[in-house]
Amino acid sequence: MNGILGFLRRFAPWVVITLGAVLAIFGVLTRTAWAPDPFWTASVQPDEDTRLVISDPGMLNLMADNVTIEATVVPADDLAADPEAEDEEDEEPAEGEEEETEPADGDEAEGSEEDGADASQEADEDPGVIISIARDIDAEGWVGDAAALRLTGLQTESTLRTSEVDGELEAAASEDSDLWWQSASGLTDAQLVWQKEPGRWSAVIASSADRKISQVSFTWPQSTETPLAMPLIMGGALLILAGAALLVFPQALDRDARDRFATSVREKAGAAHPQPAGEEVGEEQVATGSTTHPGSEADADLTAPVEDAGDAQAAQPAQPEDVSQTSQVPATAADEDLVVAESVVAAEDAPAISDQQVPALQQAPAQPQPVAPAASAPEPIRFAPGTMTRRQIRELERQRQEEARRAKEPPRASQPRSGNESPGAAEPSRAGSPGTAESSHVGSPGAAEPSRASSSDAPEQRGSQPPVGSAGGEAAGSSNDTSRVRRSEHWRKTWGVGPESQTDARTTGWLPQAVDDEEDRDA
Amino acid sequence: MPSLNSSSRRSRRFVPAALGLAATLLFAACSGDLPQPEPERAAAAPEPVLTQEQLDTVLDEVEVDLTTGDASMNPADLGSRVTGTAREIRTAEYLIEAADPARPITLLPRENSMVIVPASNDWPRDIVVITEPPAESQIPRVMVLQQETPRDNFALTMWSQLLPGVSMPAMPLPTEGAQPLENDAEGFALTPGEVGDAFTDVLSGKKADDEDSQVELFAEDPLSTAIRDEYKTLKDGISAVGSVKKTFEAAEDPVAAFEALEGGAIVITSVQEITNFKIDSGSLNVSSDAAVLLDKESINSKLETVHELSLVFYVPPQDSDEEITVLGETRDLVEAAGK
Repeated sequence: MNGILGFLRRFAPWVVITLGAVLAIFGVLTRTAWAPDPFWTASVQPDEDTRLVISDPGMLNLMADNVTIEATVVPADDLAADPEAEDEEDEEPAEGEEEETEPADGDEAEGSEEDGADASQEADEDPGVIISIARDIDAEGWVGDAAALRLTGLQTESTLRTSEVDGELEAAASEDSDLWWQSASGLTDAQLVWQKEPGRWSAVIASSADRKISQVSFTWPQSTETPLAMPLIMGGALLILAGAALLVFPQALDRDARDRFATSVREKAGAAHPQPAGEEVGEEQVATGSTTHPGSEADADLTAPVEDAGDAQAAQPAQPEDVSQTSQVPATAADEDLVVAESVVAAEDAPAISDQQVPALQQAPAQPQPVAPAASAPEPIRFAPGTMTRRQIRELERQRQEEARRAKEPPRASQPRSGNESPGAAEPSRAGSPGTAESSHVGSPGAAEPSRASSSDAPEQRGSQPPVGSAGGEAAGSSNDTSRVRRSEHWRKTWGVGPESQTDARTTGWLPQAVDDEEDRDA
Repeated sequence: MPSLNSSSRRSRRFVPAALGLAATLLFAACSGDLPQPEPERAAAAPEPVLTQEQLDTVLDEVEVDLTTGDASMNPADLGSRVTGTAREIRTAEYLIEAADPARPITLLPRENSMVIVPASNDWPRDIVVITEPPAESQIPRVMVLQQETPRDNFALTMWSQLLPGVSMPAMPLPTEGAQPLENDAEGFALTPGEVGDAFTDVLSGKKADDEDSQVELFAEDPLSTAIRDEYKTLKDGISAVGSVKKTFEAAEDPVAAFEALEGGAIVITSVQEITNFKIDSGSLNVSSDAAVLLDKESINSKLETVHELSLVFYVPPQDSDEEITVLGETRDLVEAAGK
């Protein structure tokens, strides 16, 4: 679970950016590659000799208010059977061929002129094909008993459905009938655009006597609106921006702000239950066990809670809750782990706090401000990701330990590790830092318990510490650094806490005391 | 593992089938969704055959054809918008005016004061146009434009002129369309098909108590009176050299008939007045109009002239006490033959 959360947290910005990009791409595609075809065309190529085509009412505006009707004719038997007309027809294609094969500009110009003249002349006499729009009654009347092809709908998306109307083949093309609402003509093809009007309208397509209709097509404009495109693009852009923002300001997702918030909440609660910050952090001390005296108030601050847990576990495996929560905490534990540890510890030790904590943690990103007061005092030495490197922490620890050692040097013989053994005296020097870390380190179960209790009862913690210190007092006092190291190793072996698995240098500074205590007791 | 392989192989075999099925279903779904024509519901009653716009176009074209013909005084230039009786009369008028400018052609103004547009789904279709009075007269003309078949265009087939002092019965607006009447339409003093024939009784001077006489159905009108008077004069004048006989032939079908708004009908029809002169001795000087058509001023043996009577009647409802009134009438010489 934590792993998943961590994974999500780490990759959330990229996930968001990717999602945004996908949405935006979809949006753009709906406008471009997937954009709806602006036209819907359906056509029919009559198999038989067709001289008249009539559309059913409703066909013209089948798909849209606008329709473009196109009709093409090809030469066919001359129904008029006029020999002169046939002769003209014979000459016509021959001329056309000549023109096509003539490359010379001048000839071409002449040819086209001739062609234009011929075409216009022919158009006057013989329009070739005429498309007309009329009221359905009038169109029906005009077609009368003649053979016709009736357009009745769509056969497929691109094919017009037709039905044959039996009758005599007639070539009745007439461009200027009073019945026509609109008409268009052409020699070989014609095009007519019809805008819907109230009423029942039909199209009549008629060819001249020597031509038959080869194709009729209806083209309707389609809506090219893509209402989803803009929302998709905008949404995608917003997601990309949001992802980018998360990359730039990871705090938004980050434990840092949340931790600070949680800290502040705890400190607020600390009025009733001191030692608020002590519950935070602290996974490291499990790994430590190193020789030096913990000393650092700030670290104690941070590590106390986990120390509690870890120590409790180490010293007293009999407490399953603690073990389960803390034993796995690695030196490099992520903040989620901390959070879990915190909450559990708090739940055990100070329900009142835990109740506040959990929601507070959840809301941490939204309420970062409360951190400020808590951070003021211990800020410089407090451990928080991003504020101190491990090396810095280690050095800090070392310095403090050196100072402490130097200070203790003289009285060590008679009263070893006064700081440890008499926490009551030592504590004050820790600038009020929660000595809980040490107390929690106590190996004995008896000591551990109270110490944890004390960790939640921050003010009393010092008071509770003396027993701890006294417990391991004598041994710790006589031990030197070397023995401490050895003992801590021994402790690690005993409890299966390998240094390789928990080697976190930054924690080395503050475990030794407790370890010493424990080892002392063991000894 | 073998089972896995076989199952995957099996599933692989099913993939194309599944895809095919999906495609078929998709196609079926798509084809089922093809839009169907959804025309507006057909009007319960027939609609006017022309809109105002179309009517204007027709009237413009008629005017163009008339003007073209009038300008050249050549019937060949009249175009296709002038047909039937109107073309015959116009042709005669050109000849007469050419011979005697004092007898000009009938002016047919383009502007109209009333139009009767039929609401019909059938053919022939007739439009009646009551024009504004022409410049040289106070009397409006009545023009009938007929579309005989769907593939014909409306063309001026006859004209008449309203009698002074008459008023047209109220008719539906062109946008609503008037109800055209069949020849045998009941509910009127006479069916439209009978009006012309009955009027020949009046023209020929039948007495009210003659057998089958329908004279009493008609009110007095100036034209028939004039024709009867002329007939009597002719008889008296020609008695020395020969004889004269007039016959009247009503058109088989009326040109147009519409139901009026307040009952009754307007029936427009034509009657041919055929006058036969028989010269027993000597010769007969023919009237100037006939001389123009005949291309000679006297005949020695016989002469036949044909006049077209273009008549507009108001036929009252069957139960009405009203008489059939002549609203408009013209008499035009269209033919003369003799030797």
